[in-house]
Amino acid sequence: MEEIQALAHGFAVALSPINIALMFVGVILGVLIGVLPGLGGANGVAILLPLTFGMAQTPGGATSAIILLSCIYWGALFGGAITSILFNIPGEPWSVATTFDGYPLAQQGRAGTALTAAFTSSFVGAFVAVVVITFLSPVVAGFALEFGPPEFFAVYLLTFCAFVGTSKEPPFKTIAAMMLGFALAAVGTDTVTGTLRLTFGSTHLLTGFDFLVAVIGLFGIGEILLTLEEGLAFRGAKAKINLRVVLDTWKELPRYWMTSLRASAVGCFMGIVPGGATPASFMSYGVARRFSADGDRFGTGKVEGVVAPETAAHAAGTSALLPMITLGVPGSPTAAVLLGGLMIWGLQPGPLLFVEQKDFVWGLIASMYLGNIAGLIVVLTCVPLFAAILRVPFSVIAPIIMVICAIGSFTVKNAIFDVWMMVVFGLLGYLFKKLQYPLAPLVLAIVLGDNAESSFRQAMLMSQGELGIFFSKKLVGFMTTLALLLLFWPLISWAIAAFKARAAPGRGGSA
Amino acid sequence: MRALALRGEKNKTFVQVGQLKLVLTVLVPTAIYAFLVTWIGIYVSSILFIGFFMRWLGKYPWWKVAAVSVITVFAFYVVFEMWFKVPLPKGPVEGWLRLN
Repeated sequence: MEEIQALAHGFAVALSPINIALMFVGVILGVLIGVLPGLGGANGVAILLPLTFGMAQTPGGATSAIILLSCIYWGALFGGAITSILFNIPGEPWSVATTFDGYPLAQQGRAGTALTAAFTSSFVGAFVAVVVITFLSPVVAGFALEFGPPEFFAVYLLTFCAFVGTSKEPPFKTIAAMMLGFALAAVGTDTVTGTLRLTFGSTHLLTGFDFLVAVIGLFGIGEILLTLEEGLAFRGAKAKINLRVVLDTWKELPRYWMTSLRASAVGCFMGIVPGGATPASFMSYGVARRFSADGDRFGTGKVEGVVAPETAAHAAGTSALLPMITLGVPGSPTAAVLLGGLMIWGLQPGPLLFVEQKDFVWGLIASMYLGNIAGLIVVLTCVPLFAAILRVPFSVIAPIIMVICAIGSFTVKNAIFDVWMMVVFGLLGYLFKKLQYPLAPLVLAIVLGDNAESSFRQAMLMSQGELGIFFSKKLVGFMTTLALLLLFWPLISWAIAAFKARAAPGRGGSA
Repeated sequence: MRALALRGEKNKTFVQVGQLKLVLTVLVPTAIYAFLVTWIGIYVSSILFIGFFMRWLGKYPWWKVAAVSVITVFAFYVVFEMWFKVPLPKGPVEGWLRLN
């Protein structure tokens, strides 16, 4: 019950007036970011990160800063559902699955029901995930205290392989995106020997590519370019939520407890094993359709079809923070940006945080409970306001978002060169999306490339070049094996399917 | 090996001419904008950028264009320079206004 005590202390930290105010500011900004095209959780947090540099230097300020940023993340998770349901435009990739049943519901004039169901199940998913974080993360951190370089490399390997195994894109595309990320991460100073790599004599590249700029360009500018193809106007259903609709929907929701339970489980799993919120929402939607009594009617406006993806997306988005705070390995691009924030504020993410920065860690965990409550209140009361923002003509909102992105990339390192890089990354992001290459592995590879490399090389120094070190102990061997299993999962699942197909109908036929 | 092969992609048009035009109408000004930031600072170029979009794509009357772009950029100035004390790149115009 040590956790409960620590959590109570965390609540004491998080419940200070300034932190509560920051929570609401964060959630409102987050929903705004989630609603606007081109601004999402990852790049929204990236843009606002430089603004917290000053805040984090005051005592207790790092906790306030992480509360602000993580609440932006929760808000963005909530906000994605608004545009999916009302406008049939997913504001965030993880709310694509919400459009399948959410938009039909809105067309039937039941937008309020769909929105309430989406928000409430988001809340449930997030809540389950926070409980998981509360009790699981001290355990994981305890384990991780004894980690050496081989174990850390195994964790990184697991992260990368999980992307290949769980991504809905073809595995080769994921690998290609990831390798490009590694190449970009390698630019700059070699972390072990200090020599320069791939800088081509340019002083701008001495410090390498900043992943925050990459995130802003890839997700922000790329998204706007893609949205433009759809035309310049948004057309959407009217949003009306009143207390009656909310209460009626809440009465209906307990019926789907089994769906939410499954969705939370899928979400937590996908968040911790870094599959991310997007595949989690699709997977959960698929699972719900298979198990539901009237699965055939999914896609025509079933509340259950909104509950499943939203619960899973939030559970995954939230639990993606677990590996971030315990191991220093983010489970999603947004978690990666938050991790970057921690490092900039001078905190070393990883298991030691639980020992050295108790206030910070438990304040953050407590703020996850409170932030999601704040989020639920904000979205339920302010939906019409947020929907109105989308009615602002694109020719006004798009350049403003571009300017915000430019300012965001500039402030990362006070370098105009980064504004250039943002445009280049934007074009890259647009091409990636057009060709259906996943962006998340690229971003994670940029973020983790250097760390993965240095822990690999340290492990190699320890073992004098023997790869056997990754199987030398139980834990590290287990993680490496799991990673390889995930890496070859597309092949394995194909083999199983082929085997089954041969076993079942092949009985009477060809041998 | 079939599992690894890229799943049957429909042989569809990569981008339509109309769409490409729209995308370029944003991409080209953005590239020019990045250029401008280097020379005349972020504030003036942002006013020009927002104004250009509103006038060219949105066909708004001039006074609306001017109002929205100037007010937006002024809001950025207040938020970044005054609240958060984050200096943004400035050019000669800010110099004349003695803002840096």
